[in-house]
Amino acid sequence: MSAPTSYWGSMFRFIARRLIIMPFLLFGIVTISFVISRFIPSDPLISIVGERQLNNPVVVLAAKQRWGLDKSMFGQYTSYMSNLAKGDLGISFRTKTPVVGDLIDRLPATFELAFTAMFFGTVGGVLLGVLAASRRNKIADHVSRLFALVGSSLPVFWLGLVLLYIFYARFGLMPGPGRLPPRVDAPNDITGFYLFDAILSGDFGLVWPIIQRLLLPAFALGWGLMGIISRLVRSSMLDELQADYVRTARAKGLTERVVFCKHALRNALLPVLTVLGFSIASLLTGAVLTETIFSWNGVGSYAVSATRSLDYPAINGVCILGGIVFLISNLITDVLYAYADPKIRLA
Amino acid sequence: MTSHVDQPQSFLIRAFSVGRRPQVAFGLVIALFWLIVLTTVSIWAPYDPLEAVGTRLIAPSMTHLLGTDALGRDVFTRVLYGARESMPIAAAVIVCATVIGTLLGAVAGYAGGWVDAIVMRITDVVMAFPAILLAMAISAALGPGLRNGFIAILIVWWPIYARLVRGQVLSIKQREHVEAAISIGATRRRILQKHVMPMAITPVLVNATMDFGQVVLFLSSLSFLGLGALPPSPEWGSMITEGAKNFYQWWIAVGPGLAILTVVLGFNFLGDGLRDVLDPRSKGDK
Amino acid sequence: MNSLLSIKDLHVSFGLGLETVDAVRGINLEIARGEIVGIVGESGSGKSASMLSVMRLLATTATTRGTVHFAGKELFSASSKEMRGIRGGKIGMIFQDPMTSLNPSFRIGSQIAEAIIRHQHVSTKIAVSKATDLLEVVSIPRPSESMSLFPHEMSGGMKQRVMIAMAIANDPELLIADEPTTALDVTIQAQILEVLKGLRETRNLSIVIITHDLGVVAGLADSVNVMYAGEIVESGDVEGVFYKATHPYSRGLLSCVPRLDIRESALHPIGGDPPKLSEKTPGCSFQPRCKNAIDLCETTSPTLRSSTVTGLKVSCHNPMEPSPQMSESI
Repeated sequence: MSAPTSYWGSMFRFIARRLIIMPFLLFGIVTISFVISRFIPSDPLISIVGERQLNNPVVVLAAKQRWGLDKSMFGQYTSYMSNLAKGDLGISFRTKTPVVGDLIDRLPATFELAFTAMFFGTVGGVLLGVLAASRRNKIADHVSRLFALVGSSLPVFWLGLVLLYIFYARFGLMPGPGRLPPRVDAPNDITGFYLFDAILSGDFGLVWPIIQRLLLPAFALGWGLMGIISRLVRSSMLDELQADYVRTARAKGLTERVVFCKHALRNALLPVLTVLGFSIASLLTGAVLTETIFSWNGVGSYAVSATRSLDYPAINGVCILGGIVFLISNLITDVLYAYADPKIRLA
Repeated sequence: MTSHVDQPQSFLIRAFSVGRRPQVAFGLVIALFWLIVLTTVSIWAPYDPLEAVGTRLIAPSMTHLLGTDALGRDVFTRVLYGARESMPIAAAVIVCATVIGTLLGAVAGYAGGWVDAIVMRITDVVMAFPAILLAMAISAALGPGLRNGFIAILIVWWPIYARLVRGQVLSIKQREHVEAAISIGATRRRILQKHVMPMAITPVLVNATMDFGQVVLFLSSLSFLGLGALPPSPEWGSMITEGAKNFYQWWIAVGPGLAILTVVLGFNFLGDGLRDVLDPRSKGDK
Repeated sequence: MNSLLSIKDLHVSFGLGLETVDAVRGINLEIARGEIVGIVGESGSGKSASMLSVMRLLATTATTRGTVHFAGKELFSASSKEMRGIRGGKIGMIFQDPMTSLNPSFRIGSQIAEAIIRHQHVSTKIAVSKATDLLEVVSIPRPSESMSLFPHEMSGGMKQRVMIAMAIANDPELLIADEPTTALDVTIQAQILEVLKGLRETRNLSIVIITHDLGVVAGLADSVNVMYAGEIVESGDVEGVFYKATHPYSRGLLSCVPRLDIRESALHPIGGDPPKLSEKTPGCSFQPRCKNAIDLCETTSPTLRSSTVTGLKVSCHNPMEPSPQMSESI
């Protein structure tokens, strides 16, 4: 019988072990990003100085020195790594501002979208899954499963386009793309999350328009996750409902609702936690595409612009950021899982 | 551990009973449909996919089932031809990724030690990137085009199979029949070939089938971002880009989107059915 | 009516695809207040199904027929709401496998407190202190610390004590124990049986104990019902069944129990398999396995009648003689 102290002790060791691996993974991520960006047949100089200036040796040399392109490959790598260690991701060829600053500016928009989508996906997925499990093999079950399947099979950018066409262009029920109504200033930048900023700065008139503009993109992005989670919840609910402890709960005289929503669901939700961790990565993937459709000024659309203009510092920056987010979300998932499942061996 | 006894059912009987499930039948029909389109579309397609054949941006009609695009090309014809762009690439990605992943995963799982450590750390790092970002970076570096898109997707896809196969090999290695083979002195190579791989390969086949649609989807995402297929090509993702540019002409994007949806759904169902056929222990969806 | 639980002509059947399995085929059972009744039989004999049907906890594929009166109330016609008040309130139940019968995600204290709050409508604080007292009653060491344990942190015997604590949390009048010791080690079994026995003495609790192990009922029950293929084939007080049983099946069961008090006690397994419960045969269901079978057994099904020789009720056309050797040892 383990005392509470040893529980937290092993929890701590578990987290520490994960933290130790992270730098190695990060090192790998950074190195791969660098390697990719330097194995380019096309010349990044074109995007820096423009095609017309390419024949001007003075301009070209200055640009090469400025971006460190005159050093050897290894020299570029070491100076890149030492800059990284200082938290310097270089200066974007395209925006001519530090990549770190660009990313920090845009990260809240992406997170706002991804978290809303995650909320839709999780809440909707759990509800659908429970509904399907409780109406097993009835119409509601089949419909929710079809809904789930279609959600995870649609191209998210196409879905965004269709939603915009129907709800905005055709029927005018929803606002068009963008985080804010046209010709409206963003609320004071406190957190970077427009919704929180609007509330914090007392700009309550903006709250509804901001929420409204989140709905379509977040739904487009969250539908796939909703599908995955609802299928998972359905099958794990059906498994859990067969378990002996469910009979015990009924034998206590609990109502079916409590048996379902407390006893069975609590155990059925455990696998959802693991999916949530992985979903962060897939939501970021989807965000790249969704942001493009919804003119969402986040990291995803930044990445797309960066790849279109061969802006390597920016591409590297986004990749590294993505890797970090992924590592952190995995860590959080593991910790949550260990916390939620008392049985898990923290080994 | 689990010493299961196979049901005394023949492969055919199982395939038949699987065939009676409507989803699997649907998957088969869709896969066959696109296969036929893929191979024969050039014979019977009403128009040329790259030539202007009518007025620009006209709505669907009997002559142009899905209307025409900004250059006056027939959208329906282009959707059909899209299969010839995505599906061979997707098949190539799947074949190469399963071969590479299976080889590396099997060796890693069977050899263990530092070989295992190196292979698994590489997959860890590759999988730590959000797939689309890594693929975007690679195809941006290599330049647009379907060939580079193929390379980019392959690089992000193989680790999935490597991990899958490694996990399978590790668990099968523990089973009695393998230990028995070791105890009678079979060589490692022979054990891997004769006793481990035949069992490890089943989930790979199932996953490969299901992933086929996902690769089509992924490729279309890259093309949508301008990184996969190049403009005149009727690739579904880049057609949706054209649809986004002509936002109010809904018919341009609808077809390619539905095409992707059917391929993903169809191969998903097919994979489900394949699992039921290959693995009699799985009961499929409850 | 004096009995606490009165089961009349209970039938339970399960629909299994096109087949119907008749798991319980018309049993009658009376349980008095403070009485401990054993139901003994092989697995599949319908003993669990009959008691689960009393709680109305059978799967939805099951249909029941007959009447069950509990404290004067007919349960099959009670509303689901009334049933929920009875379950865990008036009738507690514990199950075979304590490993899986507790919810792995909740601390045991909160699982017991939940039952108390559900029926007594008290605050969490009071429920927790009552739950702690209950852990004391079932002899769990360090009750207040044990409250915060998760099921996986406890041994099987301790978990079964928790199950008992949970089942008696609301002072029920009847406790149904479905194979309470089967999944436990022999030494632990005895401890759990002690706990049950103590509860009868301190709380005047009626207990139905379902088991396939005659040894379990021997030291605990007042009366025993032997079930075979969904029917009660022999019943009576515990001494009587142990020493004077005349039904060939009961005798077979008894000879399966290793006994220290009878010499040359070779174990005699009963040959053959229990009948398929989906098939209805005209004769006695034990007939195909019975060494004592006569022609009548093949055509006519026997009914449960009091035997003038033994004072037991037995359902057999050709009962065996009470074993002289067994009778001697009374």
